[in-house]
Amino acid sequence: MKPILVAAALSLLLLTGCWDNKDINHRALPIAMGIGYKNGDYTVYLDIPKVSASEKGIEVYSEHGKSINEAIDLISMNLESQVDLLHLKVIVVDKPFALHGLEEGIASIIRSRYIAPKTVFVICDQPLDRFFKRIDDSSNDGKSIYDFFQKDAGWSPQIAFTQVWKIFRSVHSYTNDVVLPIIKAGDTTILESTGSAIMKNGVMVGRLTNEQTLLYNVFNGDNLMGKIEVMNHATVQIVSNRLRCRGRFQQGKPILKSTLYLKVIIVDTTGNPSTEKIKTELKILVTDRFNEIFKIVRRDKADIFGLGQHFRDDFSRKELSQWREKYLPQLQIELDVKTVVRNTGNLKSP
Amino acid sequence: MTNSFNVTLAYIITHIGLIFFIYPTDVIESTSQSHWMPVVTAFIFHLVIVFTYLKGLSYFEGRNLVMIMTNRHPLLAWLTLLPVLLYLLDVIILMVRANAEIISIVCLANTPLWMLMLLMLLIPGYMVIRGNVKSLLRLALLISFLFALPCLFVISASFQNIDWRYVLPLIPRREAFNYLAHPSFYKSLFAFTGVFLLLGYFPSFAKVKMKSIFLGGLVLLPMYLISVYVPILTLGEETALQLQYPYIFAVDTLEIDWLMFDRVTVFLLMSLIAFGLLFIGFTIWQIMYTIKYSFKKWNSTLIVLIVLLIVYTVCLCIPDWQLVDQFLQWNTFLRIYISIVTPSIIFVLGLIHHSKVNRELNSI
Repeated sequence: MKPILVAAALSLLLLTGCWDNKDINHRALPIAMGIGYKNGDYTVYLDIPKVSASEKGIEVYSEHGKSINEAIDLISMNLESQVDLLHLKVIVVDKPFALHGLEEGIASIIRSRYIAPKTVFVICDQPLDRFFKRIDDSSNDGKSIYDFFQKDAGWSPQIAFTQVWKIFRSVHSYTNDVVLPIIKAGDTTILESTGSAIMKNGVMVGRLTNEQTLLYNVFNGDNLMGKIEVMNHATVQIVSNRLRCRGRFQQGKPILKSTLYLKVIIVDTTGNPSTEKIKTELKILVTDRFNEIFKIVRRDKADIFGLGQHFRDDFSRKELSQWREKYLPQLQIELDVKTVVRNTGNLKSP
Repeated sequence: MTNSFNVTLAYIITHIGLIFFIYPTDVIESTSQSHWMPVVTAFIFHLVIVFTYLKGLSYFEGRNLVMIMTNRHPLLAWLTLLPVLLYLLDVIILMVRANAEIISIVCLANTPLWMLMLLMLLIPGYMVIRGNVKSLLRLALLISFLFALPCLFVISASFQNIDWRYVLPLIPRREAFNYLAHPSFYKSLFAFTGVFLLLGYFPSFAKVKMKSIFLGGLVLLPMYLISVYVPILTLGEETALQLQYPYIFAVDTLEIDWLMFDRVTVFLLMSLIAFGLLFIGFTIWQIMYTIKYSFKKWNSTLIVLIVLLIVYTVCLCIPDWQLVDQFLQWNTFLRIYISIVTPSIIFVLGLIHHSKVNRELNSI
């Protein structure tokens, strides 16, 4: 009886689960990480906020290495505290890396588990050293890049929002590709969105503009309060959107019948357009813009909408694996837009 | 007599402790489409063996597996109990080694493995030494009370990122039946055969109702399906195939805007480890009971300590994950043996016993 009690009490001390623990003041917790790529060489930038009460702002460290992990290790080695990537929120990569392909970088992130799979991935339109210098110089608390991509903070619907695990899925999946936001240091604001990149199997193959990205987000079912301009006559705000798709085969060609249901609020009008007119104009605008994007999708053979998902039942595994190359370029889409104008704001409808 | 509710609860949560780590990996490996088929096939197999086993036991009214076997011909007893013992020992070794590895991968990267394995053995060992099976059954109630809620919360939250269209094609094509020839399918059976033997040890201590066990099975089927389908629906088959622990990864992708739930995986892991500890406790108790009442009447504490020592030594001797996987593969023969032969023997013995009793009753 007694020895067991003693053993139990001892195990309380021994089995606390803390082992070689480093206290939080000995850890460096980066918010953002930059990864540059040049001829097989990686440059890693870490954006670490200063945590002492006297100084504010951020510190940016950088190091080169043959792999991402090596570069991080070098920073950790030269830093007085240990780099802990657990709370990393944003990864910024430069364009050469995106064009080369993110596959290996993503695989090493997923494998090592140091970085959470829900970290947001971003492409930078300018060299990373200049980008991080701008962030470093601007006198803020270093959280701007984090807030920019927070859905409950500075994120807006014209910006793509893609986490690491989605890119990982895009690398391996037969029918799902992603778009990544592209940013650069802004002139008046700290960051500026310059559209988004179409990633096919983790390689950047094309671009979308900000307006196209908004529509992409609408199609992907992200519920957003984005604004769309309708021709010259009105501005509407989309308050709810829903997409229904049905795929079928006709003479060996895939056809997708899609209906987009939009609920909008009128924000602004010029002249006195009738509600009907606004609806038809919205329909034309959305369809045109969609066709534009879809043309890019077909050209790049990158299934950013996950359209192949609607044909899963029609293909065998082997045929499905050829979806992007063989069937996507043949795909016909019949898009119908159904709009409800929910209200016209504080003024009566014209 | 302990309530049959506790028995069912123990049956459910010990299974849940087994399901979510390695099981989805094996099922996803075993076929490339219609993943519900290997799950449902194995589940029906499970129901059949549980039915045979319980039916056989019910003829003996309140006697457990060991009591039944010790009255028989020694050869028959050896043929039944020795594989059971070996299998249970094997199960603990795998469970301790695998769980320690998972804890190390998910949250305690700096803690050495020997410490984690010691933890995984000392707690269940203490449970068994301090109490008997009745206290273990009560513990099942306590553990479900503490951990079922966080576990269910994470499981329901894990549907956040799914895309239902990944479920298609549901209707199997001809090549979908290939899983029956795939070794991974037989490996995945471990999640169905690990616990059922335990039910045979209960009758002398607690009521085992066939109906409530089957109701418990109904709770388990969705769990099996969720553990396989959530990663597939989130990531797609081709991607899920790349991952060592698909379900844990799918939970890692969840975004809940509340700092406490930033890493919701830890909640799931803690609950599952608690269930796993209970499972290990039950298994150690089974081994102790079998040895004590069929081989030698040693002190139970001594037997438990010896078992812990053996398990711990073997666990320390397994250097890498590859070997754990190999172990699981070799284990297949033993698994199939105990899941087919043991219930059948019990069933046949039960029938013979039943007719004998009937004859005696008639002759009076």
